[in-house]
Amino acid sequence: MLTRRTILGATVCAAVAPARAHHGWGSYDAANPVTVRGPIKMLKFENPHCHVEVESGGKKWECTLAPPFRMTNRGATEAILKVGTPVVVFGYPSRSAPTEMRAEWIEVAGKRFELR
Amino acid sequence: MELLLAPFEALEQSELGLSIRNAHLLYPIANVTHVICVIIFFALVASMDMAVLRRTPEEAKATIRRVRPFAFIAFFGVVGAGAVMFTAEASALVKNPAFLAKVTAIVVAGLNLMMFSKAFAAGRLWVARTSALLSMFVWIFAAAAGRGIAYL
Repeated sequence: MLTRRTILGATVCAAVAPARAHHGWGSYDAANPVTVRGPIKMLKFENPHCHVEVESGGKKWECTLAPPFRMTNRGATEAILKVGTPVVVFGYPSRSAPTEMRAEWIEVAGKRFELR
Repeated sequence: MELLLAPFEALEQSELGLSIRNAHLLYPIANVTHVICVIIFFALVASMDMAVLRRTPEEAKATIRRVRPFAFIAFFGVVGAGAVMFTAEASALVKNPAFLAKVTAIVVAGLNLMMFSKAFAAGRLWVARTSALLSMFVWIFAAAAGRGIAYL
């Protein structure tokens, strides 16, 4: 349940969150995939790609997802990716930014959404 | 550097930039329109360039007169659809080496067009033909660099 405090916290998080990642699709390490588990700290349901920030093991992972149209089409809607929702994200870490990854799939409440 | 980036940051963070990012369909439609207009534009450019390279100056002149207006329309389509995508990501794009290469190529193509027009009007056929050949290579490079934006 969203309290006023978590909304405030999320707003602060969003405000201080780093700008959207600007790395191309070519710079991800497909040989060493990572799985990130934790609550969504920030959601950007935006073109050209959606992003979630997930806190996992004391680190904040910036996960690049699919474009909003594909996300919605496959059921991974803005409504189920609310800030605070625990998720599992599997994907490929960026070679240039250590806590950024391109997601292959995202799992919400046991339901897996393929993003490619 | 910060000062140079400021207007692009402002554009990206504007109400317009926000609504382009938030609308689910506008961005993909702009993307597809951009590509289709690029294809049509290049087909028209190449038909003029090939006419200059292979036909007599009189025939080439007639081809250019018929084709050029449509090429300009297609170019406006390219720029219009491109502007939609640019607005959504302006501050990232102006730092993207592939985007900068594309813009440079478009400027070179524009200068080449001016050089062509002068040479062609003055009857310097071989300068005009070199320019026509260069035109096709520069536009192909611009399209390739454009696609490269997603990977650099």
